[in-house]
Amino acid sequence: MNNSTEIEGLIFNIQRDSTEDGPGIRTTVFLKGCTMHCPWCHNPEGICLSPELVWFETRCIGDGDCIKKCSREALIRTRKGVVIDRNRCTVCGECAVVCHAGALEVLGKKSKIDDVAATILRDRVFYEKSGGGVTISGGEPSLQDDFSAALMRLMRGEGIHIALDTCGGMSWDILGPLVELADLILYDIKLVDEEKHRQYTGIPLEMVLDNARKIAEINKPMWVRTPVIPGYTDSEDNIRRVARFIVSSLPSVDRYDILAFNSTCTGKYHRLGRSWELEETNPLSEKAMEKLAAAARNEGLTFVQWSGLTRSEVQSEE
Amino acid sequence: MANTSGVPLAREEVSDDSYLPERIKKFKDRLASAVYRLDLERVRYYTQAYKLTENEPSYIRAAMGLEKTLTSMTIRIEDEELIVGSKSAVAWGDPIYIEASVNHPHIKLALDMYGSGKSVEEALEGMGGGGLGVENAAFLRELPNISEEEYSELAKEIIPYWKNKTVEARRIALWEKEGVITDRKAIASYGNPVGWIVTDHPPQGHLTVGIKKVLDMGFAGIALQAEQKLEGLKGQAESAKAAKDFWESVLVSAQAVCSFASRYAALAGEMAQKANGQRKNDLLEIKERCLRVPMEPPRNFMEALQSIWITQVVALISYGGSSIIAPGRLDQFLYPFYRKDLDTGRITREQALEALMEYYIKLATNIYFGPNNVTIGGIDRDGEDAVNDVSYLFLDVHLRLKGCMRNGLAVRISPKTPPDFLRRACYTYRYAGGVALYNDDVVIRDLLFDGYSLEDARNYSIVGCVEPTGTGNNNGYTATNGISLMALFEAALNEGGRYVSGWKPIGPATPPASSFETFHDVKEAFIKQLSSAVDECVRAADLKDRVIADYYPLPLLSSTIEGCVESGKDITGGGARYNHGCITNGSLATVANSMAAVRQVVFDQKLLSMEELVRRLRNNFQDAENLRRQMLVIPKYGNDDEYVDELAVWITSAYNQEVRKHKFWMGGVYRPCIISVATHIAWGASLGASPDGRVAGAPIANGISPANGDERNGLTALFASAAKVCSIPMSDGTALNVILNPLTVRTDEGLSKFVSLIETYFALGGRQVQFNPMSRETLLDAQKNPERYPDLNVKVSGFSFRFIDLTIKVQNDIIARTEFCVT
Ligand code: SF4
Ligand code: SF4
Repeated sequence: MNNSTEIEGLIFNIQRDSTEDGPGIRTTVFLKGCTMHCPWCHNPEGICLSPELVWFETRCIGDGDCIKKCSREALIRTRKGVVIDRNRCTVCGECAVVCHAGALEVLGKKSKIDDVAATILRDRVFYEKSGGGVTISGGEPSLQDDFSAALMRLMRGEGIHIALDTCGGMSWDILGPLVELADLILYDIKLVDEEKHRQYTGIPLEMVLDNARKIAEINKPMWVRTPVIPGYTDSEDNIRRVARFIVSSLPSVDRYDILAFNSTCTGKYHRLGRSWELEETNPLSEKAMEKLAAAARNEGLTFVQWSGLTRSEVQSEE
Repeated sequence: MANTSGVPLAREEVSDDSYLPERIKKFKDRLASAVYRLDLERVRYYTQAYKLTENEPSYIRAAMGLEKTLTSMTIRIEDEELIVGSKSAVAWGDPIYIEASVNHPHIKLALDMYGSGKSVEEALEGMGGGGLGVENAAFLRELPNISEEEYSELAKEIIPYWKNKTVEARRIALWEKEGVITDRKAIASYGNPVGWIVTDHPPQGHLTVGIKKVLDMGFAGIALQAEQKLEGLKGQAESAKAAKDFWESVLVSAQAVCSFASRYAALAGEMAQKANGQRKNDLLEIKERCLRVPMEPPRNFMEALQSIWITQVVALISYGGSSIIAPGRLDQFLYPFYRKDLDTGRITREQALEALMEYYIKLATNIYFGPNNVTIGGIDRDGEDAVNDVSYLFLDVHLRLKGCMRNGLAVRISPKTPPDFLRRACYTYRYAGGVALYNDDVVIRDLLFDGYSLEDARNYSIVGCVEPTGTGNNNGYTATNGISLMALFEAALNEGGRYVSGWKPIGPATPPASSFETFHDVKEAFIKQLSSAVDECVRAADLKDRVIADYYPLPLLSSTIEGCVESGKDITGGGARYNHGCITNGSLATVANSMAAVRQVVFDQKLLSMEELVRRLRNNFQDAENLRRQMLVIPKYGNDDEYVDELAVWITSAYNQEVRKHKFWMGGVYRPCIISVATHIAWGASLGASPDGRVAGAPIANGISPANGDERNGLTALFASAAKVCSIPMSDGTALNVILNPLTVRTDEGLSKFVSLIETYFALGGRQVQFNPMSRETLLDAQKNPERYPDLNVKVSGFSFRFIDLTIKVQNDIIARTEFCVT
């Protein structure tokens, strides 16, 4: 292993003042690369384990500097703006440097662990007052386990509360040591249906449930989360099954969050040159979310919460 | 609209938080539908009194004007009112302070439109920077409907009489004589070429009236105090003539207030005779209260509230309706009465709440364009926690009314404040803006720089928008003069020239930008411009203040302020216990960002020469969009980035030093302040393109807030940046406006996080903060013109997004969710 201060991680965002990733006010570090490929993913830029180039239509001023710069002729001017030929592009980032409008961006930056730590520590006082800390998220942070572990050790040394946000799709040999280093695990259980789970996420359900049991066995505090995606995970039956699993097998769970789907990430898909099958999907209603939460509570869970955007008045009138 | 937040409402009883008694609902509706009318009564009676007293001393004339008005003006008691008194004969009108200027915007507008067939909008457009915006058109639509008699009274009697006598006319003459400035128009409006402004109207405004003294002594007691002073003068030489005149004017004014209250008592009595049932009782009680207060000290809660309100009313009549006269720490004043009444069963909490709601709605009619701050919470004179039940009552008043026009609660927070109080204050943000939080530790530290004693500093109140002053013991003057730091930075890059002057030199001729060899040269030129503008502004302000002191003293207000009756001097002449002047400004972020940009592109990266940059700026980045975009991505204030924050602190510190080195002529110091109500728009319109990438004419930043949407790293980073700036003693206040979606506090958990953010900001040394939702208009505009809002961030459900990067559908959804929850 490298000298730990030289370790670099591939990071696509560090969000300060993050309020939805664990207790208190937090800084969330988003690591690039994921083991699952859920069709509903809200951070599609987190899936691929290498940097990606994106183009922002609303920022582009159309001067063509990027096209002149690219020696691989990977940028094409069309009537719809600059299009990236991803077969040619090596993501060297040269075009982003010359684009003064900031319309081209390389997502995923090699970041030195010390720089990442310094950014996190800037908000130390806010963590102290609010009971917050750092959340290591992604993607799936265990795909960059060396970096994640080193960062978590550094943060432990600083006395900062650490939450690890994982999808559980990783062998315990790798995930286990990271779990040990965290104070809280934010754990996604999306679907309790062997076949659908494998179909949508690409990972066997058993692996996810097994890892969850192991986390509970070592008594690590856990918050379980289920994204409620219309047509995929939003059946009452699914939520009931997750709840039943928590009741029967996960005594260390403090909280169960069900998160309402929203389509705010549509633009991200477009910028990555993809369309998104859920982009026209409407938000759920408040009633539907209430019903799901009630279903989970009926299974004997007392700590069920739901959050996220639901249908606004305007939409429900439509 | 139902709860559309997507998040279940917290368990707090929402129904309780929104319950309004029928009577209060009616008052609220009446207020919402009221339109402004021109009220000539004050002008008429003051003119009559001044005509009759040509050879009398100014003190006596001011007192006679007040007496004539208070004894002659139309009074009324409205249906179901329990607290009575109005500053105007009409439902919504101002007692016009003609002494300041005959160019009062309402008068100008009325005359301009009379018989001309112009619409209000057209007339407002024509007035330019006259102080009223077109957005007020609907509210002002009745203004031109004056009678023929009123028109001729105004045009033939009032204006010709005052024309050469006003503060404005006299200070212009004086400035010309003293060679302050030759261009008269230059200083009359914001956005002028000199980069500073001195205002005639609202007049010296902005102070706390001495409510506590009135509650303790009553106006009869104040009259007695003056009489004793006069008694003590007997047999003394002519040298004490000014003091004698002053005490006499206090006596006349205090007695006039007492008879004003008696008129209400009589009216209530008359009305009671014709009334039945409960209303008859109510009217008889009103009568009894008005016979007692504000003449004598109140005996119970309702009398105290009546006394407070009528004192504010007469202060406004004397001082002119557009002044900002704050009541100060009402929770402290009212608590002893509340406690006693509660203990003796005279009043219930719900009754007290209802009375305070009535008061709060009345307060909103004080002035319609400025803030009316009530100060609550904080520590007492001995440094102990001062939060009491009435502090909570005011939060409930604000919450239940969902805010009230421009009313604001200035909520003081100290390390000793019960956490529950701060939480409750933050909770109001679910339903309404208008609560601002102040950090006692920092404000008190600042006030010590101004010479306040520790006890008096601890007892501070908030006046105007965000300005801390002592309570009932000082001259106020917190928003009378200002400079534009950005205008001065522009001058520093252009040898003293300005965009609005066609680059003609206005300020001192600093060296041409082409000669700047280091970044230090840039700073030096800026300091020279700043120093010269502050000198000139102070000189002009002093001369204007003396006009006021010589011709238009304020005996009534002075009579309530600690120090005046004692010293025999009016507040306009330095009689108050504490005195201070002010120089405000409000474009910190734009200047800091511009300096950072200059430093980076010219001196650090050497991308272009200083000369080239200035040329590009003068051309408004024409054919240099690339350069402009480059400037836009240079670090911006508000993101906890040292590269620019360090400059924000340096600018604040330089400004602080330049202002504070001036002694105020009444004694005390000039105090610095970083606010801006709407001045950032007017000043922005007069500025050329700036190095931060802002195009010519666009608004500049407001207060110590980041420039439009520039905070990219969330609130923790924003607070870290702002706290650095707050280390400089801006004792006249700073405004940090944070744009925040009210959904953030919709759950108990969200509320807790919000509270801890504020606690941390204050622990870091932040002075003040207030929250506002992003306006619908801004978002709609951003949707249409994305290029103008490259950095506009919205936070939804914990995630921040650049608004312009969202799809139209999502944008629409967010626009639909920006407003407060109305239950
Ligand atoms: S990243 Fe490199 S290869 Fe890809 S488009 Fe830009 S310049 Fe061309
Ligand atoms: S350089 Fe940037 S702004 Fe210019 S065309 Fe390319 S993407 Fe658009």
